Amino acid sequence: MLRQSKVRSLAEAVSLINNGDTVVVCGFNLQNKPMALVREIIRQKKKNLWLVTAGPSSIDADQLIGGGCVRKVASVSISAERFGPIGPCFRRAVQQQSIEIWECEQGIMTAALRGAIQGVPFVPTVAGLGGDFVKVNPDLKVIQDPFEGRPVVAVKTIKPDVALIHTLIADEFGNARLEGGMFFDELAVRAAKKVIVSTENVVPTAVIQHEPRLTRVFSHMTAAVVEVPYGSHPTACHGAYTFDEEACGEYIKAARSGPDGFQEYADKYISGAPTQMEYLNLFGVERLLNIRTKVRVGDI
Amino acid sequence: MSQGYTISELMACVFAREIKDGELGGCPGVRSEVPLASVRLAQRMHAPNTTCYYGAIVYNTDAPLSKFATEYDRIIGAEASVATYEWFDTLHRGDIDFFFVGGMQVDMYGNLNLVCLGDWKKPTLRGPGSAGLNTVTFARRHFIWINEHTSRVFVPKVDFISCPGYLDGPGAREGAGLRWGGPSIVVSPLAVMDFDQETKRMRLRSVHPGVTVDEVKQNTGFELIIPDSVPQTPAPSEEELRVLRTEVDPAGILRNEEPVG
Repeated sequence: MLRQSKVRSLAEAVSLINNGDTVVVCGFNLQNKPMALVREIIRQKKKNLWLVTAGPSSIDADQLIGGGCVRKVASVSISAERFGPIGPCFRRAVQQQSIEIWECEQGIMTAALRGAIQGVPFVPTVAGLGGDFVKVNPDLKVIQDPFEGRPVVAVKTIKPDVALIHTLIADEFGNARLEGGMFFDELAVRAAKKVIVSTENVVPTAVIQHEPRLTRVFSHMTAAVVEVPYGSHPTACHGAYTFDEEACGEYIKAARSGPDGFQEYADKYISGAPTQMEYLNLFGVERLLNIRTKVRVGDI
Repeated sequence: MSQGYTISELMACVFAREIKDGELGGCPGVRSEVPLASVRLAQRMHAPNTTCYYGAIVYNTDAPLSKFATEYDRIIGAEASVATYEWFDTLHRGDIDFFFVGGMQVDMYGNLNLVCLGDWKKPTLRGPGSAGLNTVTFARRHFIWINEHTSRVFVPKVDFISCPGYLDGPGAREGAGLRWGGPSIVVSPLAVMDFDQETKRMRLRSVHPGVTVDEVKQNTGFELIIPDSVPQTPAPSEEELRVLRTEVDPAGILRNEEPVG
């Protein structure tokens, strides 16, 4: 019998996500965000997700919120660097109290994911001491260190059902490399019950075997592999392309103008472009070629 | 020859002078051009043994100054590629000597807020979120830099504590289990502030060239401690500007604003 390939279409991969799931998204701000998966989640109208972002997030979280997929969000920040200090859909949802917030900062998030990795119900950390997080998040409690009596913060474990990651390469069995910034991605994929890998290129396993030290998503963690060129666009994919300034700016401007602006954007770039090829054609070859990475780590 | 420097250049010099040789520092993952410039400047002036975690992904890098601290090209020229949680752990255990941090509100005890204005449950304005701010307070000291010195930003009490400063005064950090650290200086476009040892309240340390003490008082939403004599923030020296402009920031990222001096 042959080892089974986990290569799936975008639609098949995202159909593994259930309404109400806890979904953790990899990447950092405008870097390495699994945007093609995000758009497909919106197209499939997933509902009531608990959206967790392993690191700071940007238009990934903002689009999922704007798209009506999110019931509750845990993210250390939802911004867009210089394109906007905050995600517009996120701000509206919070100010209209239409979304639940699991308030945290990065040390707290790290502890919550480590709990799932280690299979423990909570993780003690110093992160959160002195801050107001414990006042507004019932999953954080200041407890006494049972040995030395000092205060520590007990962070209730977050157990994501699914992790979403976009990588430069992966093989058909779901082994994937972290070649650029590692961010919090290893924590997210190890905390989740299953991982959906989208990747620029599905490569022969021999390529993965050539440099096993770079494999940080192991095939046993992975439920599906989707080949999606420019799958992080308009954010960056480390080693392949940088973020698309114009496209990020266009999104923030549209979303900031109000729910109608977001809807117009979604009608054009999300529901209006049901496949990645149709999405990419909206930008054209020249735009996509211009953001390519010229020099790779190890080249110089 | 200090003519024509910008506030960003002045801030970089002020912070650089605070850094001691051999220290381990940290620069944030966004808006980090001033912090990185100050570390680079210190390394070239008086602190060659200082090293730094930078922008969430690398340790000690020669990459050119950039507004974008988490871009792939930051890794080229670094001494190590780092998973972000590795330097969070380094902060938590108290190994990091200095870290740079900002916020949308800062109060008289140096607490910072990046979460919301108004009541957390019904905010009048939601901010982006705290990023790693409660972790930054585990640096041995942290430097606060604020790009807008107004009473909207400098408030008596922040609406949400993202990054604990001295909380509500003497002994409060210790009571909360924070065994070291706290903000050491606050640098704004108008002035440099520090904290009074006894009361833990913010104190005016110097005003930038061309700025008056009254101007600072009027734009601060709480009573600053004002010493009897307030010196002027030393302008960037000729040597500081030369190193900044020829070695640290040849592309002029810090000069992309109106000069003040």
